[in-house]
Amino acid sequence: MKIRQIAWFLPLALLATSAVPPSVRGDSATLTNAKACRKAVDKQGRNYAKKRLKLLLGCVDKLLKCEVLLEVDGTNANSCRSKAEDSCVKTIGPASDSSLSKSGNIFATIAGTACLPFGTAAMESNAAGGLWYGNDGTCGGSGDIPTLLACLRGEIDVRVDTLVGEVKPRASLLLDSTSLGVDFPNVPRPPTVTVVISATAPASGVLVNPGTINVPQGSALKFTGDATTLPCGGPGMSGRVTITVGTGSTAQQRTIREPWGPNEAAVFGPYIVSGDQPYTLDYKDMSCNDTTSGTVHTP
Amino acid sequence: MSKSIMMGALAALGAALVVVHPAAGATSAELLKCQKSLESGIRSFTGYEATKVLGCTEKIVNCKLANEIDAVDPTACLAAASTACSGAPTQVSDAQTTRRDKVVLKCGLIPFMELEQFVAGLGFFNVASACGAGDATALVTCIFADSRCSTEHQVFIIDPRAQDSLTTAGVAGSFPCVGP
Repeated sequence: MKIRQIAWFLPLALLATSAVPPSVRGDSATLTNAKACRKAVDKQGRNYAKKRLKLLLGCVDKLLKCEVLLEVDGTNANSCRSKAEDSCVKTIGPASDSSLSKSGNIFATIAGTACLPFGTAAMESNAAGGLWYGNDGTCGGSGDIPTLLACLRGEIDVRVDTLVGEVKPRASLLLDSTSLGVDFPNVPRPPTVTVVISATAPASGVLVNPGTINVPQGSALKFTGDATTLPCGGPGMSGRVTITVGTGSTAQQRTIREPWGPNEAAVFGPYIVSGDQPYTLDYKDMSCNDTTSGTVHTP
Repeated sequence: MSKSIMMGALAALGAALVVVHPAAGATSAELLKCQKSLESGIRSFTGYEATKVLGCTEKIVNCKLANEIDAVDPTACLAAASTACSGAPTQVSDAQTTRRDKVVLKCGLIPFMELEQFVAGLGFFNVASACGAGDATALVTCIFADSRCSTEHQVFIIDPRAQDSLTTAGVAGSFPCVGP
């Protein structure tokens, strides 16, 4: 009985072996490593791009909601902004435990581990059997796998962030209104006209009138303070300039505070309609008080 | 007629109507719905396209790697992979159109000026200028086209052999942005 079973099984087994396609029959270690590396970069790269897009758009959505409710319905935005920024810091902030940082680490760890057996040279090889990362003009010369993967991630970031700026064009202005804007330089900014608010001389307390400010259609207007002339002397950093552009319910108001410089900015607009709007600069610092005004002109 | 065809027909009809009759002034809810709809549509579409294109390139490149590294005859493998890839161009284009139409349904309700303005609007002025778009349909169509191109560039970053693979599959012409 046993011999009869073997007699049946043996030819079937031989037949099955000969019918198996070569790839199933067993890949070489090099081929297995190449496929594993490629698959991991592919899957993790795709997941990372998807996650980054989702997290950035999600954050901007929260920030946008506060502004739209304020601008259209007059709803006070302070609490909404604060909650939205807290949420954004958790999801896309620079801390290692933010959702975005974790997602980046997953890409680096899983793809890095999967590609280690195949090696950097084989990944970058443009010859047969290589994965052709050497063709990448930016990342091709990376000396090791972590550097190569970090570089690829950087390229993905640029593409995703640019798309975020197209899908939600207010994204950059909203992010810049929080502490997070600096971490996303690739989200496209609208063209900007910058006005540096200054005093006639250090501690003079008298503002220089910027006159008529020309802002082309589609451009934003940014105010910063001059660190040389605005400080009014004395201890502390209590100086501030409150800027109002427009009138009535559509007026926008922002305040910039000491310490003055390019990082303390107030952004208005961008403006898309031809016309004039009044602006007022209200300056207070210790004994210094001054107000000046003019027109924002959009041709 | 199936339910999905009926829904599609209604959506198309709705799209035509809303483009012609935008509201006199959008509410905050309408603005936010439009923006949310665009976000969802773009995320869904770009995810779909990346999966489709990378799925295709993976099949092709695995055949080629087996040939290059283990000297396996790639003929049958490539034929099967190319067949599997052949539907991708139509599937991706259909997905783009379907999702775009859904977004137009929401955003077409809003006067174009309010889509463009940054204050009490969504800030699409510069995007619309770059696209040469004069209405919501043209704007949304342009954003979907750009998102498609962006996704194809990402595919090439992730898989530098992607362009070669798509050429082998005979579908590279349908994904022209797969490249540097």
